[in-house]
Amino acid sequence: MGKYRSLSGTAIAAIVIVVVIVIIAAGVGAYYATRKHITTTSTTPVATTTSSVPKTSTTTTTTPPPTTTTTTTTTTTTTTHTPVTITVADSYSTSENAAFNQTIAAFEQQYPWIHVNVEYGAQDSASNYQSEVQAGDAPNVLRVSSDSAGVAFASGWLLNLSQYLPKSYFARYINVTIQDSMLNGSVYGLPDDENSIVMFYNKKFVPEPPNTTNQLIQIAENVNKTYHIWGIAYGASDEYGYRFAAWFAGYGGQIFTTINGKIYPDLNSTAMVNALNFWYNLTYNLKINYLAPSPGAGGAEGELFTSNQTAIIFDGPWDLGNYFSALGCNLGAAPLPVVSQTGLYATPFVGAQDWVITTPSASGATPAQINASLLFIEFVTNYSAEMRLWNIAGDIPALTSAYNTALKELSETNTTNTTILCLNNIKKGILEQETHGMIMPNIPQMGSYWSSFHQYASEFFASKINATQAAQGMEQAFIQALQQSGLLSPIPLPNSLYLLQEFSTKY
Amino acid sequence: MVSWNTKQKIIGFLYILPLFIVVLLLFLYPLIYSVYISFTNMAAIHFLHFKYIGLFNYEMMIKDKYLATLLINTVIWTLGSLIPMIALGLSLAIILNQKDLYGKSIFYAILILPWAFPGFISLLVWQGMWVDPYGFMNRYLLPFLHLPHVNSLISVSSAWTELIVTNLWLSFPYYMTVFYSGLQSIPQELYEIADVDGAGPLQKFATITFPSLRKIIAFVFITSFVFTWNNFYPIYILTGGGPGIATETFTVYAYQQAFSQYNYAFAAALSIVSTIITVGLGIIVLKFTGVLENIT
Repeated sequence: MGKYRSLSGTAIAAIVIVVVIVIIAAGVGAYYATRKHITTTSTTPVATTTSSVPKTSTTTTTTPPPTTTTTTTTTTTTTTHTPVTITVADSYSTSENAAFNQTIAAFEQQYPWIHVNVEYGAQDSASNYQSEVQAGDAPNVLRVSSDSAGVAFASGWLLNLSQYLPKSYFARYINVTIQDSMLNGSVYGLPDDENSIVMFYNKKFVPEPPNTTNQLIQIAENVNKTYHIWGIAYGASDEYGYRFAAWFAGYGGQIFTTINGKIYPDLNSTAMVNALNFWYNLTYNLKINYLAPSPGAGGAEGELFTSNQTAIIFDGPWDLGNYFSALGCNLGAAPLPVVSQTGLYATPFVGAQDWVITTPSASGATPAQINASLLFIEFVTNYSAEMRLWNIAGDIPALTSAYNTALKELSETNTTNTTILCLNNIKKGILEQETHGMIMPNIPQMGSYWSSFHQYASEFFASKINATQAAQGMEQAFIQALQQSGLLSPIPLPNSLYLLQEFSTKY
Repeated sequence: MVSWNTKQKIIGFLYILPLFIVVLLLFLYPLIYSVYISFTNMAAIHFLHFKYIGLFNYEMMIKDKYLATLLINTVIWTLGSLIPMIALGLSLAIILNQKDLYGKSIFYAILILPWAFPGFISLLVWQGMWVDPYGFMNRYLLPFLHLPHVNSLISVSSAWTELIVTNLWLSFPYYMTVFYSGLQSIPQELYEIADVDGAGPLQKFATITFPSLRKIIAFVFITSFVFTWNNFYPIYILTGGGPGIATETFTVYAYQQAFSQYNYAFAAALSIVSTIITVGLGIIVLKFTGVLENIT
């Protein structure tokens, strides 16, 4: 018996650690098992009606739609609701959050049984939530770009709103925004704004914006000679094809074509060659464009623009605040010019920011949370919410009634306040651009476009290949990427793809 | 009745169980999961409901026309970074190790300063410094040294220069610190005997310093080789793999496949191949240098 030893203190400690780990793991497992159980079995509606008293009320909002006075007859019922909490991933900027926080307060006032747990500073791309989706722990509601939401919807982790809301409900949004929130005829998101790039110019150097590319060149050369600054700062080689798509379309190109129902890339075209050569010429031969390494207000393009080192840049209204605070009334905004060679507008992508709901399998949501999420996304895309975003942050409304009010506000503002007048003129330019855009493709195949374009455009602007080789190369790379991801197969085209053209008659 | 040996084995197993659980959860699970999804069609439209497709992703990889370029780029990036990093780290360590160097602590504190900054922030600062012609490097330093401008958007050699110089700045404090501690472990008497024998600095380096550091250099080389091979941020932030795919490595390509093109299974296959290559090279270097022989 002498060779048997009692357990040492270390061994006992190790056993205790293991036991604790096992208990914690079992506890976590039990917690998730319980959550799944609730998710799959709880199907009872949460509202319990205690009385039903029909009542007529007149809804008055602070800024009503201009065209009609809305008198709504609703049937209000006094009900008891089980409290429910939903998690919302908020991708708004600081200025947008000022509007959004007011909307949240109004929502919780109207639906006191719903508590909204807001995750501020979230990403606006749906791809950032995939780990949480795999774990079944994604937020209930996300605000993401319509194209990234399209991929998520195709992946099967966003709710099909067409199954919950009538078709007529979606008609209240501007056609282009709802089309861009739709895949295969099903709507997956409610848009709260409409966005595209626009031409920002500094009136100190460019009193009147160019209408054509010939004028653009003339103005840029003049600025270059007179003020010794860059005419344009556009980093065509650094981008992934979001902005370049406008010039490609202006030369008559399109990203996709269909052959026997299959989607094929259509980048290898004369339009791509001409568009690439146009910017190469402005950059290297005429030396009026600065091939900036980074776009946007925080990048080199924005830095040069706000420090009066370049006269023209192409950026979105999301950076308006930065430019206006730097340049004030010298800032101008106008649509991208008509390509002189073709007579077509350079038409940028027009997309939307969508409020979407994750499926119960992705978020572990109960039916009560799904109901609350639906109420929430309807509320944050209603007239009052979108007008708040327009008035406070300058977001272009996606709701037709709010958009019309915004237009009317701009034309009828009766003020002598110079700042407001200047800002309104800029906003007019931005709104005008929206009428010369093309719907941003939201199909999963689009994911393979960006790096294919970037790879060969950057080689072209580094003078390693010519434009023809670049166009061929990017199309081959696009096809290879689609093959690798299994997307070069007959996937039905969503409606929006057929609208890859100017939509000036959208209303 | 449980025998003594069995009981000892159980106790021994209990000792390693916590570590085994941690290793299983943190290291093996992700690896096994990556291997698993590399045999599936997990992509944008098959994100939740993917299926087994055998070696399809590996076949596609072999057919991928960029594979050779990616391999060459990864080797250029890894060796191009490692060799100057080790050389600079060792040189600075030798300088710091001089007995008669005054203010050694101050120099050391200054030299490890790049470590004090978060790598990501440093990279963003360097990105701004390389902007041609407005950044610090192209506006002041390179003209001052009569060197040509560096612009990664218009030249492949510029892109590599940007990457390797930036990575050198980010990494040399690590190498310097490791070699410095290695140098301090060399008995001073060896140098004193060499002095008595009339050996010069180069002779002392070749016969005392370098042989004493051989295993440290080999160890640093192996670990850094794997780290640099997989180092993603400098390339992603500074050049994005461009112009074209001229500076794109396996890891950056895999990242783009996963998060730009939503082709997770293919990205996993790329990662697995990359892992196999690094493990293979690691084993060869270990055998060659015998660096683990003294570790028991």
